[in-house]
Amino acid sequence: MRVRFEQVDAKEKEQALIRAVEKTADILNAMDLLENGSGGIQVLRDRNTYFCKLTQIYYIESVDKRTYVYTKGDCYESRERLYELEEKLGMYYVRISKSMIVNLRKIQHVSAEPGGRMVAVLLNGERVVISRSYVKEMKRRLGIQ
Amino acid sequence: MNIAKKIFVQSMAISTGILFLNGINAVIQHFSGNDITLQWYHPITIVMTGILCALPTVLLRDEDQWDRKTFWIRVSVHCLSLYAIVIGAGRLFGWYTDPVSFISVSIIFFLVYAFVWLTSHWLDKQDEKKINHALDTIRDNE
Repeated sequence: MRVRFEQVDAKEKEQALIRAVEKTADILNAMDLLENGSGGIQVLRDRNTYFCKLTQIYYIESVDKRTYVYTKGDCYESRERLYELEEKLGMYYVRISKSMIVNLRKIQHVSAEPGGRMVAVLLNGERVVISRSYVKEMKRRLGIQ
Repeated sequence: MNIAKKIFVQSMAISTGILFLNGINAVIQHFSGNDITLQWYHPITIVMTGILCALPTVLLRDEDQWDRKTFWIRVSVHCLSLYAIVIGAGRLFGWYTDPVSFISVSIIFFLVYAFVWLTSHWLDKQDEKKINHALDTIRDNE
């Protein structure tokens, strides 16, 4: 496949377009790499260290200065602070409150509540609250004007 | 937005709103054959009422972090505080002179309050639709 690179002047303008006959495993891997970066983060559980792929993470929460990483059915702890992780995660991870980052790809749907906040129902059925002040950034990430 | 800025912005918005309603009322009265004459203190009372009405905004600080029960209690207290301010200002500045105009002011107040919340919620629902539509295009298959 011929690959072409074109430089842009802002992060928001970055995009990749793949023209192919079908979505092969290689192409899916390339899409995953481009969308989520090279990989994952180190997490802890029961004093053991694991490598958690970014595609597995549902949301990350900070409670009492500790950072917890939630996947479909598991919870791990991270040594990194929320703002440090925020810089490492891919474009589909967005801050939804002072203490939480969510993976947009794991949201089943959102519903608006009185007062301007929204509730997001995740693919595993969990519900997380999106604070009003973070809705604007979420819309921007989703390309909504 | 910090609370001082929020109160300032709301003061301006409420003052403008009151002035607008008074303006509409004056136009209606004029074409009904009853001209209205503003007293020297009317403009400043409008601004003062705007500032007073903005103060209960403190009750709504961080409203998106409350549970549903707390939200409705605080909104009710906020609504009644604003009503008390409007009625108090009306009494002090002579905006109503008889029971009928008092009831009119009360009804208009509650209608405007409900309208503001409903409009705000309707706008949020439009955002909800747009966000859900955008999420449909990126959602993981699990």
